[in-house]
Amino acid sequence: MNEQRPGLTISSVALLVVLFLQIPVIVVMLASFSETSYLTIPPQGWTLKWFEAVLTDRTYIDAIKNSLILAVGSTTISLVLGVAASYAIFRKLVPGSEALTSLLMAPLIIPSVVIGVALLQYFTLVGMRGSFWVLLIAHVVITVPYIVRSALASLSGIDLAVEEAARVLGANGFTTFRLVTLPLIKPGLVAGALFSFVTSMENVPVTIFLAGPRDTTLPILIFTSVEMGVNPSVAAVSTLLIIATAIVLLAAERWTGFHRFV
Amino acid sequence: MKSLRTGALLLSPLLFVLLAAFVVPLLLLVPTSFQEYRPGQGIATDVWTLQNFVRIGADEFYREVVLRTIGLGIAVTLSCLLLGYPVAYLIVRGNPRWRLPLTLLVIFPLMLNLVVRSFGWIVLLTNRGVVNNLLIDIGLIERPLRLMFNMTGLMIGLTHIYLPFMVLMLVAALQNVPRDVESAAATLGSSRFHIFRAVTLPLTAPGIISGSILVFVLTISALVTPRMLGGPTYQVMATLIYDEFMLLLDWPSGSALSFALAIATIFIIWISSRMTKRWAGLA
Amino acid sequence: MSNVSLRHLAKRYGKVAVVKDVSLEIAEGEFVSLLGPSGCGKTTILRMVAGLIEPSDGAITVGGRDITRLPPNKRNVGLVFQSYALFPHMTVFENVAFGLRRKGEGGAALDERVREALALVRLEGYGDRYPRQLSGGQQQRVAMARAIAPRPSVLLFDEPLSNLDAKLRDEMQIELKRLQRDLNITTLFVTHDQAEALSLSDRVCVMNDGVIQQFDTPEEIYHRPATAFVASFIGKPNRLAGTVKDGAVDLGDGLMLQSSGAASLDDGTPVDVFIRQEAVTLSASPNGEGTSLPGTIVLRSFSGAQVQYVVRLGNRFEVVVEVASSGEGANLAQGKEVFLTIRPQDTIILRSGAGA
Repeated sequence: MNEQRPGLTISSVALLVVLFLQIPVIVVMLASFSETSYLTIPPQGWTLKWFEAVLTDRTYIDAIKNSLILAVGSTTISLVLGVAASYAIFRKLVPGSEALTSLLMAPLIIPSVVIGVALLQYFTLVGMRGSFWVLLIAHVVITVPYIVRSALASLSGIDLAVEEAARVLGANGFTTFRLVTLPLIKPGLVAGALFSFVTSMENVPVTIFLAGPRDTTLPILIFTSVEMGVNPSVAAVSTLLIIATAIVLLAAERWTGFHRFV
Repeated sequence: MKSLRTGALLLSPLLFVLLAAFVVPLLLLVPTSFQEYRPGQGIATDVWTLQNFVRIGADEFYREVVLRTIGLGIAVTLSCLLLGYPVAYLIVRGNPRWRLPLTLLVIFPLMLNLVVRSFGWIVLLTNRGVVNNLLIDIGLIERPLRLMFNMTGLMIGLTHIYLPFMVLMLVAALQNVPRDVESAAATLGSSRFHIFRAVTLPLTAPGIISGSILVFVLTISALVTPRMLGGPTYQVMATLIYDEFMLLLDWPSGSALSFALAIATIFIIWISSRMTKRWAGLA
Repeated sequence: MSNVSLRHLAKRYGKVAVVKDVSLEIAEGEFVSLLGPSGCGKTTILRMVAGLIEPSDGAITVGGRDITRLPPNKRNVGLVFQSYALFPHMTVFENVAFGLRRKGEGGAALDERVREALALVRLEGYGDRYPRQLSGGQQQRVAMARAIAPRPSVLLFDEPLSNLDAKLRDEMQIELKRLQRDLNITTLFVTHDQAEALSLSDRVCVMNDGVIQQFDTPEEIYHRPATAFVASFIGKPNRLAGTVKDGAVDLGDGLMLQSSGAASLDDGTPVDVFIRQEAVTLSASPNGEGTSLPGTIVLRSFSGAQVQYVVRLGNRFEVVVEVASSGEGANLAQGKEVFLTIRPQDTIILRSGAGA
């Protein structure tokens, strides 16, 4: 079998590419601990002052809070609506399942910036621009495809006979879903929910057109402050995000064998 | 027909949300794109014009932005493919013990906030950034290289952003290549390179195509990275749409451009899904 | 009382009728098999009894109660699936307890009932395992325990043994029969395996193309098939076409075959004669009892307990003959001229085209 293992050249190239993928992460983390406002290699002086600046700045705190509320809220709504819809489609309870799937997945295909401007115009027309609820609905639209995709994939992995067995054993439709179907698709849904959460957390192209001044999210804040130049407190808040992401990713891998669902 | 009622009940909340906050807003872009924008006066709703669409091809500035976007898409796709294939190959065919850590290292940047990743590249690529400082320190250059606000910066940044997608697609494709087929080629006297060229590569072609389509579509519709690394002057289609809606307030022109971008992505995805279906039919 | 009766049951998908007007009376405690090739409608009937498919026409009653329009969860039937359909995320105990809990059972009574059901399938002490930790045969037993635990009025089996290897299948057959006899639950068993159906059942219902061909005891089905379909589907019979002449069958080429059924048919009636492989004896010279027909051995194959010969008979027929490998006529060489002896009572005679 030795013959079919990748050789030294390919392995080294591959490892360099994997390293390339981590470079911005490393650089951001170094910059956030560095004394100087421009990062040098090797960094000169270590400090936590940028973190202090972030954690005492109301603008950052509010943005983090907004982002979390939005991500948790939209993921929860997407989960409920998306799983219900996926179940109806998968069990062919309604005709036209293929067309319906395409519609539910469409927000993934249409460029985000186009969705953003479309919603901007629309909510300006109906006079709801700047409302937090508009932002929440918009995030449901862009996150729901991830839930639908993982729900449909998980459902297709279930033996239909297992649900029938529950029915014959005396469970009604809802009990069957609660006791049998839902537990079986849960690992896939956790992965889908994670994608949904991340998508909401990092969205700029839709959010930037809709967020009112009080609803600024963290990525919008970073995005706009970068136009003013490189600021080490941006690096500090980015480092916090990197650490949070790493923890969530490892936890998800632990719980569900996450990498199988990507 | 009890099942139909249950189904409608389960589907309608989401369908309502999508209709009200996705389908209708998108459709409303269409009439806007045929209206006329008069600087200083706003949008003239009484005139219908094709001017906004004609301009995309006719106006030199617009044409340059469109061509740049497409060129960027192609360049980023190719570099993702070239860099991604070895990684996918190592993950699938390498030591199984490396598989999980490597996969997680590939997924990790994908999970990381796009703005943060782009910011990382700014720290690296600006005039007084890490790369330029390093090159000056070791004496390779005297003045900082211009690595941002141009094609180089965008290519590096976008390749980094979309490489994980390509790797994951290629991993899936490579996993579907039966090892026995490669072994069979080896017993028939193929060299390693020939096995790759004659067996592995053609069998992963569907994955290569769908990965490339994905990266291309994502690249041409990207807003955040091009804006952060390209600044307000080095424009692509998405950043131009952004400016037309937020700064210039020329909504008709922005709508036409949005419309063109959306149609292009839908068309590419439609073509590719037809192609993959045909590939699946062959296999 | 849990006798099951199907009356004029039919299922159509658009214009395709999968089950056509099937009526069946199953006595309480009886073990009935639905036997037929795939696509004959047997599984559809089973699923209609379970409530998983809604009949287009007809009625199903269990113990006199009409259950035709009841949802599956209100029917109190037990169903063992071909794929077992165990709940993969639940332990064996929870799998078996599932139906009991739906009936509101709990506490010590539940524990006792689950333990009892597991003891019946000889899986005591396996309660904490998950299905994936069990062998195929053990999973099969759990599926049975789960189906019988809520004491259903009818037990339904959908080809439950088809996923097991041959040896395990034989063991499970015996176990299943014992279990059914001990519990005395009315049972409907779907299979395409005739040996399984014949050995397990009190009565067998042979189906083809959505229609009942014959519903009778295994012995009757085997020895006195009602239609050409049953005659050719059960066992591995030779089928010879001929016409009735003087109370015997003229097979052409001057071959006349004595057949007990031929006397009651008019001369000139076209008929099919079915002769089971094991009902033919081979000998080097004509034998006194029954018809002796001359033939030539064209192929001999040894398969352990049996030896099979392909014998050419005249110009039109090849007959497959099976003899015990330890008995007479087991060592005849290829190309040898032999006589086939067939007793008149071993022939099954049916008018051509009747029911096939």
